[in-house]
Amino acid sequence: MTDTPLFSVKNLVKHFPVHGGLLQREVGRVQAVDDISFALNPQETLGMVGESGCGKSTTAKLVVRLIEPDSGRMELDGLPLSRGRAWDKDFRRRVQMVFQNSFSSLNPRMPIASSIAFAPTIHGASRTKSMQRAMELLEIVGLDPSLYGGRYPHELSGGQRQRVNIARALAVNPDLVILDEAVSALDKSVEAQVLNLLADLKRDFGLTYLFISHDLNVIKYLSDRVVVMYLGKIVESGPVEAVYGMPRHPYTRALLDSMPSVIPGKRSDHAPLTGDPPNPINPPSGCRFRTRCPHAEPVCGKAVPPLLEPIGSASQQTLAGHEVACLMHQRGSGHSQAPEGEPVREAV
Amino acid sequence: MDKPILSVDDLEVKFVEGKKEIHAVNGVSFELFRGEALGILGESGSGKSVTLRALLGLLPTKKTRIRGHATLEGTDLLNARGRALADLRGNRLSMIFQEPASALDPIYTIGDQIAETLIRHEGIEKKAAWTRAVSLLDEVQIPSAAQRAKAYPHEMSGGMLQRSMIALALACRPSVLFADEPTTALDVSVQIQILLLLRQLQQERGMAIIFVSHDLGVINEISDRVAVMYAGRFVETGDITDVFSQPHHPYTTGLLGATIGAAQKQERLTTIPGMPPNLAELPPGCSFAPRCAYAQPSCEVDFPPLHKLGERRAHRCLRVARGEIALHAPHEQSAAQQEN
Repeated sequence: MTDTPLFSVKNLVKHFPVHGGLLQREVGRVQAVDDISFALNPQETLGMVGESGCGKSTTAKLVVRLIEPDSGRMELDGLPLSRGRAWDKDFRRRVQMVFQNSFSSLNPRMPIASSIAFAPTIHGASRTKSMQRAMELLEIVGLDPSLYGGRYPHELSGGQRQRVNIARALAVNPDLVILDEAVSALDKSVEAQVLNLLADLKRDFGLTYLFISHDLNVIKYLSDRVVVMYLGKIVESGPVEAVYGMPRHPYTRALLDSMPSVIPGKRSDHAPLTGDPPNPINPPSGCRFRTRCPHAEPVCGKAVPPLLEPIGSASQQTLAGHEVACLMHQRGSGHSQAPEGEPVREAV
Repeated sequence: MDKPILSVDDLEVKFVEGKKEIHAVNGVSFELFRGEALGILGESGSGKSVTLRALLGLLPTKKTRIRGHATLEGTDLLNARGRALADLRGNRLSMIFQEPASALDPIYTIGDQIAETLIRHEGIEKKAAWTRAVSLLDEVQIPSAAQRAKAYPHEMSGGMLQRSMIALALACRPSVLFADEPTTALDVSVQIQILLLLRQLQQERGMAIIFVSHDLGVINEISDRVAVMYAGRFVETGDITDVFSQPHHPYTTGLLGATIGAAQKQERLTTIPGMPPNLAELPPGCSFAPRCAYAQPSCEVDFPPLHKLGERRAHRCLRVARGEIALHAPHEQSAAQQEN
């Protein structure tokens, strides 16, 4: 794609030291996010999916700059971040986040209309104007402003509070909204309402979403492109049709196979994976999935497989933008199931 | 048919908070047979967990009013107190919970906790109890069970803890197991392992399960029969395939429609408008009427009795019972397409 992505991340790394022992020395490092790169194109929804401990939430916090990365580059509109105080303030306006816990992310002592109006006043709007905007936004997210505007967070249900959080994020006219498990705590019937709302808002406001969830169904429903993470690494990424329709990485396949069946009379007869995801403190060498992978070979432990376009076969065509970090799909990688030929060098 | 293991008749649970009465469970009746898996499907606040807890005597007695009858193989459940209740729990009737980390005691090893149950109910020696504990952990597919029995709960991962809790619950070969959203806190790849394990253990032991969940997929994987619960009542019951492929209550259709399993990408989801009712002020008629697309003014006034369709199928919708409306499973076509 020739267009500049709205937001891009290159070789992002974030490790958390673990202290222990008598002297509280560093005894290990949680490799929460380890060398990941992805880009968000304007007005698209990028879904990020993975199990607990895979680094999805750390990625979200890095993108909104709640925490600083150890290394790596992030760019907004193709320009590096941190360009002076005024720019930083504008960054905070342009990139907004909605959290999973709808209650703890609202000030319990502030009526919800004031919570929504708070950020615009920080960014220079007058008090009356911000309040007016807050009332409009409540209407947009489907809450009657005259009825709900003066209420406190504890007087609302989970679904209503999440609508407030969405309105609050939109109050400063952001370009990018990060939704970290934003619908995970909601009941199914309410979740569907909020998902419809998110789809409407994206269309009406021209928003770009980074949608993070462990729920494969929700990701499939909402996303244009998908990134699958495992223990701090991206294992597969691409258009949603490719990743769900022709998954290549054994982990993605196992994850999709693990979904409970909703088709009446049809049940799963085997579990694709055994055991739990390993601890991200000391991840396996090479491919991090190899300890649970049915196709693992000694070569998988030698080097971290790069994220590359999979080699298409006659039966499987590769869609543009589909990338997978698995030696089985890389020419001359040394894996017995890999296609023959010269290895492809990773473009630096 | 055989006699049911567990039969519950017109169970009512009310929570008293000052002058307010919360009607959590409003007349639930069902029968559970040997080796049967009953799934209770409902959203938060529908009373599904409260039903299980009331049957097991786990609700605070001071604040709760329980009415109705429940018998487990002839034993009265709701009036059991003290020793009689303690003899029952963890022995003939067991329960596994959503959060294994908070359900297990953090200061005893997994093996000790299982052994304790065996000693209490079967009066066996400590050594024999420990051996049994290890073999139980082995049975729930915990690798190197002899070592893991010596582990404390905080040393285990979520999936391993849930397996340990299953081992603990099954230690005394209960005839009925209550499972309260046991897979909700787990990752998908672990969830399916636990579901398959429960299914296998149930079949091997001929045990009956009541499995409570808000997740249609999970209910579909484990249950023979399903009860859809709304505002403290079963609004529809029947064999799982019948209910999911031909729902007879608008709430069931709504739930099926709001589940995105088979929905096409970017197609609008059919939602149930509004919110569940306030359990302190339930309407006199059908409690789903305010959110129901098919509701008529009479639905809000007339209470819908249970309309039985044959031995195993029933629902509480006045209009469906009168044959005024016919419901269809949403996404039936797309689900069939996905299968092909």
